[in-house]
Amino acid sequence: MCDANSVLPDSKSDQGTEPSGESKNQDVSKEDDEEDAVQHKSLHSSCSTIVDEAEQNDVVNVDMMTSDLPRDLENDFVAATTELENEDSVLDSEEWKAKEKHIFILSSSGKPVYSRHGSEDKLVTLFGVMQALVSFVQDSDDTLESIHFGNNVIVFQIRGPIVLVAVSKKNDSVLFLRNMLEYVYNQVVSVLTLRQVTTIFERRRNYDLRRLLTGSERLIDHLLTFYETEPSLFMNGLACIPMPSPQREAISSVIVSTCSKIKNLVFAVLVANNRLIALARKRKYSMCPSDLHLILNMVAASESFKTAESWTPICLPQFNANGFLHGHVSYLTEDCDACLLLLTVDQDIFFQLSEAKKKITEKLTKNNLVSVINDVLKKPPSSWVSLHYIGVSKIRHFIYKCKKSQNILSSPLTPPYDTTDESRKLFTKYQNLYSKMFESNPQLQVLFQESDEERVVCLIGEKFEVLAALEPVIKKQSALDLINKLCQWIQKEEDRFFITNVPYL
Amino acid sequence: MAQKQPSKLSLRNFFVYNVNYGDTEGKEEEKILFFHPRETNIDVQMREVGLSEAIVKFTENFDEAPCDALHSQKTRKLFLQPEKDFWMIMTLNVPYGPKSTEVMEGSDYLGHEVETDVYRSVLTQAYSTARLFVGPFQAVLDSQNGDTALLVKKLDHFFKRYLLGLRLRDCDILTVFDGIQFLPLDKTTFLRCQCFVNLVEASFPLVAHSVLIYNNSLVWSGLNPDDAKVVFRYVSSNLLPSHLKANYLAHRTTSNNSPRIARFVTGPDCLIDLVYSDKTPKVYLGNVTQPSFFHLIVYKVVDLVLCLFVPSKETLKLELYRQLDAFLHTRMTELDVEINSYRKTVNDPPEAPDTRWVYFNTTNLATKDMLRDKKKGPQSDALVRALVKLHQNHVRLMKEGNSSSETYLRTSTDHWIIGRMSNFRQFYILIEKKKLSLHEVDDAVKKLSETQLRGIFFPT
Repeated sequence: MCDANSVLPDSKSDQGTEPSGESKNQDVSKEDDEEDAVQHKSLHSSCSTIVDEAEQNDVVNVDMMTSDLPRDLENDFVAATTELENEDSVLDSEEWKAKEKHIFILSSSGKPVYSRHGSEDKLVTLFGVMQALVSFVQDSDDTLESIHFGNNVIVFQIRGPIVLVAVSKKNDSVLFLRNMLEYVYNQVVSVLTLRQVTTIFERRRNYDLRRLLTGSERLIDHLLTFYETEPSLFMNGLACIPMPSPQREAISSVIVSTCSKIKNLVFAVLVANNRLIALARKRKYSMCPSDLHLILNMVAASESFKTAESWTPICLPQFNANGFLHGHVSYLTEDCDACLLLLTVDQDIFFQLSEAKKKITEKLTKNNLVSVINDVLKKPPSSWVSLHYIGVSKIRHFIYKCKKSQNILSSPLTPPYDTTDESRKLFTKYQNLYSKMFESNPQLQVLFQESDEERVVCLIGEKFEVLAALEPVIKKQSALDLINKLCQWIQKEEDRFFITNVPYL
Repeated sequence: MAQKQPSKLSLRNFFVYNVNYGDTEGKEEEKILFFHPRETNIDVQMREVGLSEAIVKFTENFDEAPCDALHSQKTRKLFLQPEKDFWMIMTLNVPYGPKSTEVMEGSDYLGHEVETDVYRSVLTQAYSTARLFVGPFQAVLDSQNGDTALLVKKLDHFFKRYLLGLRLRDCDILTVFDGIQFLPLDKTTFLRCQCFVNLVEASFPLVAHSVLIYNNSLVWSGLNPDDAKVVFRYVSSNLLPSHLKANYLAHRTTSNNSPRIARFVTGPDCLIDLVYSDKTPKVYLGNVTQPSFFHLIVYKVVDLVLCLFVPSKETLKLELYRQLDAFLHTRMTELDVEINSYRKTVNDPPEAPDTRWVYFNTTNLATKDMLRDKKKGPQSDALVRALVKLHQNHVRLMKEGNSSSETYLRTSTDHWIIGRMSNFRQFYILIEKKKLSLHEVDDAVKKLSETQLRGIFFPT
């Protein structure tokens, strides 16, 4: 996606209608040579700027958030004109056509906002067509949902002033793609807040939203890959780093005891490798899996968190789509991969949180818990669950979701699923069957599918959901017995794999 | 907003257009060759065609696979490009009503009740039947040097009646298969039938092809399966029922000494010169050595139906019908008795209660089923619909290179749905009996496979 990042909106034609904050932005961005495209502020003066600005006007706040980008207007203009000449060549290019999945975001007036492959500027016509199709169907008081052709599916989602489109060339289920677009939409909301988005388009229907999202493309790109490779997103669950529960509790209690006096702290989240280590929350609030995935995505997509303590506004759509939480983000220590996020509604307590984080690190280090975390993170995921050890080696792979805690456990991808191709194939199969379970009317509870490659079993129970791939020749009853054995084992070891109790801050 | 009344699946529109026409500004409507409902405002027609064209163009950006369907909240649009540059589009109104049978409140559009595959098949069948009578659309245009008037007239004539008879809500997985029900016979009886057909063809050199049907099952066909299924569908679901109805009415209105001969389903009503008028339809066969139109003579004795195809360049004289009647009447009466007595020796295996099933062989289009006569209530409809989804999944597995696959599903209502596919044979079973263990279900499936599909091998 580097080309999408390098090509900024055609600034010349829009200059007359720039919002008032623009000139200031340019100054800021020229000074600021921050490489990272994600909107967050390193400590020093900028944190107080955000606070001041935000109090005056939400729009300015967002402008500030997206302003820390290198931006060379003269070059932008040159780039934009040459791109336009090549517009047709993108659509004709075999490489672009061969992409497995396209994701597009546009405004309801047809302005391009995002394209996963190929720069939006080169695809203006295509965006225009998508807008026309959507509004044409809307004119007859109807809503466009999907188009099906051969193995391809195109799914449309209309969310207020924003239209999202997913194109898949490998027969993904509509439900899977809808969910994917939901995540993308949430990511946009997470950067801007819903109120922001609504207000902007109420004021100017024709607004070029890329202006506010510059730098967020990388978040969206990353989220899409995350969604495609991590089943916990599609199954709407939380994936944790396995750890003996006394140690996990010790870590949580350090966090809770240190932060208990801080007012307005809503969540404390400790994450590593796209997974959760510990979580604490304010009473009455809970962390939705989809919100957590946005946090994980932000952490994974932002290299700069590693180098400096940061103060980042983030909107968690399930928690509150209309406002920002303010996140103190930092890694525990320089040589630890665990990242701590302290999320608050109070924009003035950066230094208090910074202080708290120092204390947390001190206490964790003192109690030897940092090295516990480091040890756990050092273990390869393949060592977390051994199907052989459990005595169910005929199960090749599984995903287990505990419905109550929404936690997810999956086994390592061992042969034959250890290649990207094979694991993708398996996930596509899972994804399709899992959708089928819910799309069917009446809904399905048990599914056995036997093919030349493997036997896949889906179970939707009262307490848990299981997707499993087994050796192809195994009998249905034996498969069921093995899965029962596996589930019993997981339930016995639950404390290690799942966070069943989220302590209060 | 006023409360919307519940509504069932219905046909919204149906149209045919050719992308090469209507280029001149102001004459865009020339590309529309047929539009139902015909009273639709021309602007609305153009909008519909425009949308379809735009969708087709849009999808071409991503893949060359032709467009199949467009889903919106309230409609389903099915696309078919039956010949180069021709598009047939059918739009359905999605049913509207309560979301589940248990809860009456909370009505919505019930998109999940419309299986797109079923209606795509309906559209494909509409084309193949149209072609049977109209011939290839392009050929009609070519015969008029590109003038559309004749094709427009022919399509209007055909679809007007065809769409009236379209029973969308009765379509199910059997529509998707679009197969042929074969009559199971022993070798001797089958050979007798084949000899009889050969004898007819030898005695009447005018006859190019023939098809023999017994009681809505195919006995013998000299046509390519693709032609045979269209002819079979037309004869068994269209010609014969209306013939039966006409006969019934004729019996009630005319006296017994009428000279009417009911044996010719198509052809003259009676064999006396004075009142002769040739009513034999001409049909187009596309999969024979020289694709062209044929007279279709259908002759029926008791349960036995013989279809004869005579090249359309021949003029059918009353003399031919007389000769045919003289030749066929006794022979077919005998054959009918013979088949009938064989059928009596075969005991149909006992039906398993609470079980429905359907079998389909992709290579010869053979279908067997125990579905239709047992529909009862919306819950069962939903289960029968689930078969289509299951079939879809198996087709997909087949495309991915699996030669055999098997799926067992248990629904939240405690019913079992089973699908098996092996070497292009497909078998789908619905078990409505509740509280069965996996073991019992396995047994039931095994038993059913043994009794119903003797000799067909499904690896387990």
